[in-house]
Amino acid sequence: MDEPIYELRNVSRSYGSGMTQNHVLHDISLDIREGEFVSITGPSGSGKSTLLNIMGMLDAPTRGTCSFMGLTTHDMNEKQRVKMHREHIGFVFQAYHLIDDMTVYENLETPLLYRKVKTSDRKSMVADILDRFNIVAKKDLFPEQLSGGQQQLVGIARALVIEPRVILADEPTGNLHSSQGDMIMDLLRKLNREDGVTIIQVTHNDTYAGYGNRVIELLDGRVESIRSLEGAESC
Amino acid sequence: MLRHYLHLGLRLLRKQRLYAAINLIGLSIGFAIAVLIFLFVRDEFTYDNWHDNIDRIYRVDRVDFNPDGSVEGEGPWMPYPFAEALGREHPGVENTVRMFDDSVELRVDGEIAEHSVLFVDSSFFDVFGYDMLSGDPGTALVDPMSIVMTETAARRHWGTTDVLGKTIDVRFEDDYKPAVVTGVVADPPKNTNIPFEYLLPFHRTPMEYGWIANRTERWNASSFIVYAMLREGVRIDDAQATLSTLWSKFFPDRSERLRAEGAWTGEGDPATYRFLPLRAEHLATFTSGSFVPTSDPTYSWILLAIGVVILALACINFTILSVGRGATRASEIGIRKAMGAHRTQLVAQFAGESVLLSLLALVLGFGLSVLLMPSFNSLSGKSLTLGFTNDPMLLGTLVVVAVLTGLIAGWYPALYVSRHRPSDALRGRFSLGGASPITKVLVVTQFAASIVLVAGAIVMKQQLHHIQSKDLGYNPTNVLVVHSNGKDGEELANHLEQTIGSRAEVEGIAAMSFSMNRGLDQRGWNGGGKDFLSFVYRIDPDAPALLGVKLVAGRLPDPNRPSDLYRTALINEAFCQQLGYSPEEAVGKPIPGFGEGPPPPVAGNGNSNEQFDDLEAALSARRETIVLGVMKNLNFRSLRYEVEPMIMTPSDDGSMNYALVRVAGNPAGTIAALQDSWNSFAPEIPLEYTFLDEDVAMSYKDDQRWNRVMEYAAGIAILVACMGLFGLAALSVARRTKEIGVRKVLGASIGSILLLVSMDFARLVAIATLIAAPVAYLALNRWLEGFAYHITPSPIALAAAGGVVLVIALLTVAVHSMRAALADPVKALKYE
Ligand SMILES: Nc1ncnc2c1ncn2[C@@H]1O[C@H](COP(=O)(O)OP(=O)(O)OP(=O)(O)O)[C@@H](O)[C@H]1O
Ligand SMILES: [Mg+2]
Repeated sequence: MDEPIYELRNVSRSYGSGMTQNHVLHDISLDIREGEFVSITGPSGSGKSTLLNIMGMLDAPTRGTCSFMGLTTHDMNEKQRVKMHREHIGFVFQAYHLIDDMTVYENLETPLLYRKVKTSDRKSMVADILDRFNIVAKKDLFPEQLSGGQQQLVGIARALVIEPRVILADEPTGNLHSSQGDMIMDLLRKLNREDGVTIIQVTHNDTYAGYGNRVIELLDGRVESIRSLEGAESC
Repeated sequence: MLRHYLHLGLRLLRKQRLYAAINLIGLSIGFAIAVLIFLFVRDEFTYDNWHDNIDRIYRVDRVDFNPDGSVEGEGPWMPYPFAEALGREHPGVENTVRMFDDSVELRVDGEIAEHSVLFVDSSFFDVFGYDMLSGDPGTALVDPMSIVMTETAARRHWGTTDVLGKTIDVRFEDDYKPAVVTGVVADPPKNTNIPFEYLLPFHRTPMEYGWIANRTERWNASSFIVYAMLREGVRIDDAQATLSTLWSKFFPDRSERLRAEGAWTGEGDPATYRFLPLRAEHLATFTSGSFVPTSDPTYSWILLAIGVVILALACINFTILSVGRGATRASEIGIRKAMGAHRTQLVAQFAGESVLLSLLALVLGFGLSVLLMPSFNSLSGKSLTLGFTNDPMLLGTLVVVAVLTGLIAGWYPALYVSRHRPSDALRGRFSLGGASPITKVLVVTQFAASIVLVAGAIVMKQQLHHIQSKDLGYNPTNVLVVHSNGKDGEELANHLEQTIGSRAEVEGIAAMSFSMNRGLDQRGWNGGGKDFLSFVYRIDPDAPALLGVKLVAGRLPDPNRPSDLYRTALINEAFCQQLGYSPEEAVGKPIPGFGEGPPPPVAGNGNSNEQFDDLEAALSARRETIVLGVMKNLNFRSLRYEVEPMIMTPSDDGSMNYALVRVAGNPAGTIAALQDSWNSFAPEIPLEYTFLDEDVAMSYKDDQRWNRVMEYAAGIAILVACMGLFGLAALSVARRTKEIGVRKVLGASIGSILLLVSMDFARLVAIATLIAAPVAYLALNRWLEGFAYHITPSPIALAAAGGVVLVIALLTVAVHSMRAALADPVKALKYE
């Protein structure tokens, strides 16, 4: 756990060009070690989702480098990137992003299909996760038939089903009521502690930010502060 | 994995019924039209290609020349001894078949019905490739009393094909004579130049037809069609070279004699022979006399172009809709990428879905073409059928088109979206649907094509109307044209005069060498150092009055003045110009070199104290044909042609082939009397008559049919394009649901929202009109130039085409914009 799993060096991201350029991230440098539980906070529009997207290789920095597991994302070819997505990164979207035309079961199954998991294994893995999230009864429903919170749960379950090394979660509890939120946070903590899964979450909730061992605060695209929460580990 | 996607794809079809239905219906219409047109064109281009020896079989044509060396006409009629002489004199010819067709009454067990029969030489089965179900092809037509028939014909009479040795009675003149069935042929394909149901031995014709019996040795009665089969390995160029020498061999010193008589002034021979490949016969519009009318291949090409356009429209549609759909699925692509989907997997998934859809459309298209087949057949005058097993080429082509369409339609959006960063895709930052340039280009293309077709239909209709309402220079209504069918037309006219001339409704009867739009005799000669070229009609002196021709100068021939019947002529303005006179000057002038000879026997017989004006003086002194009057130009041929010089003369030795009967009111009432009269004139020959106005309309039958085809094509094109528009509007409105909801909350009126949605599409149609107008103008001008009398495509017609398409397009869009405008804004805002 000495090698940082993420190494960000002077990462900047801007949109547009010339006069109308909009700098969303400025010179962000950051190391995250494997097994860390990092919370990213900051006001709306400060660039939290953008940063997470870059770490999830859904977006690329305009300047600077981001390396994941020792490889610069910029230098990865599509095959390597696809492999990272299939095997190592579980992504929870802020806007759930379930596939509308597929049932809950099929949404959960999709990452396993891409990972070419055998049919029987796939079935048991999906069944496990449905159980774990207590949504067995919902497995044949389509996303539009679920409430926002339920969709969020499925989105998290989908990220976890491949048993990734890193979970990137963009406000995973944003739409959940407090007992559901607690359940999810406990689950993430358990994954982090027992299985050594690296977790990077964006949250507005101070309590939930406290589940991590580090809190990174963004303001206008810059790192405003980094706090280590040693006490959290004894909690 | 595949099953998973198939499952998902099928569910998508079910869930997105509107989208799927539009795509399916549009594309299947395109496929159905393509199937029908393909069958039509293939039928046209494959006449007789199923004979084993097809590449060695030729029809022998005779080509007649004008004195200036241009071709006057080409046709297949040969004298009786020709085939035998050809076989003897032409070393490249392996075999010949003579043919003669007639319509006769057949009697089996007392049941009588009239059928066409074809008399052929017994070599028929050696040359052409037919399947004999029973009988020996080598000997079936050797016995003069034999008859061979098709399967269908055999079933018609006896309900079975097991009919060898049965007797059928054939009526020749007044008697039924027996024929014994010696063979049954499997029904031949329909696309043949030599259709038949009953075959009789050619050498029976002299036994049954008196006029043929008299002509078996003569070279001047050309009534028989001859097909020749070349020997294997003989090159057609060589064979043709030999054939070209045969006319002067068969008609030794004919050219010289004609020249001496002044009847031929050309340099070479006035005629020659030509091998016309059987393969090419059906599309050889330059010849005449085929058993099946030839057809102009241009129309096949036009039809093919229309088919390609409609199929392309349907495919474009499909692509537009898929691209539009792809845009709404951008976030799905982003999610899948985040979960580890490779780009090729995404492309495969999306392309797979649309290939599935397009293959389904293909199946529906085949079904649709079967449904449409009867109407298409009646429109095209064919009897096409669709057989999947014997059309592997058609099936294969269409499967390839379907798969390609599906691939392109599905591949493009997947590739487009997947090229972008997933983060962008997830934010839904694409405007692939309504706003993307590619979609706009496709929509404009579609509408431009529709507008061209609509403009085509409108202008064609205007042109046909223009032609049909043009003053022909004579009055074609209420005139019966009786065909003399080999009898003398003058005798026929006299007979009719005696038998029906006294009927109240009969206003006039007159014989002519040729009727209007039926047959032509063009002559060239030299007179007074000048070359002349004119169409010549021999007429009864009554004929001009009967036709109602209009005079510009002089007078019509008077049947009561004997001197009017000898070496006189009516000329038209065009010939008058050739003479170099004004109409007034021309009257009383001779036509140099035309029908010269000694002074008329009647000259000087006139009353000596009669007053002569210039014309009468000229008539009494004449040694040449004198112009009696000048007619206003009349359109004696189809209006595709300019009026050319024409002479009508009562004094000519050409044969009279028609008798015209002008009737007051509807001529239909006179037909029974006409039939009786004919029966007492030539009972052995069936009466054949036509109505003069129908003969005139006949020359536009093709144009009318093509106008109708154009109307259908335009209709289908609009339909297909509008289906695409309908889907596109649905997508556009769906995408803008939120915007429209917000606008409504902010107080926008229903009208302003309708305008907002419709304007985008109206703009596209306007651009399409601008693009289509010049294209339509140029294409239509070319078509119109084929007519000597034509309109120019008016800007109004082109604008009207654009207007029609615009209105239809707006109505299509309105369905969606109305729904959006009337929708509850709260609902619209609830879902993103
Ligand atoms: N594709 C884009 N084009 C232009 N600007 C963008 C794009 N994506 C993000 N932005 C801008 O970047 C800034 C940061 O966005 P981001 O989504 O990272 O914020 P956030 O911190 O996650 O906010 P929130 O807490 O509301 O989710 C915003 O001002 C946004 O407008
Ligand atoms: Mg965010």
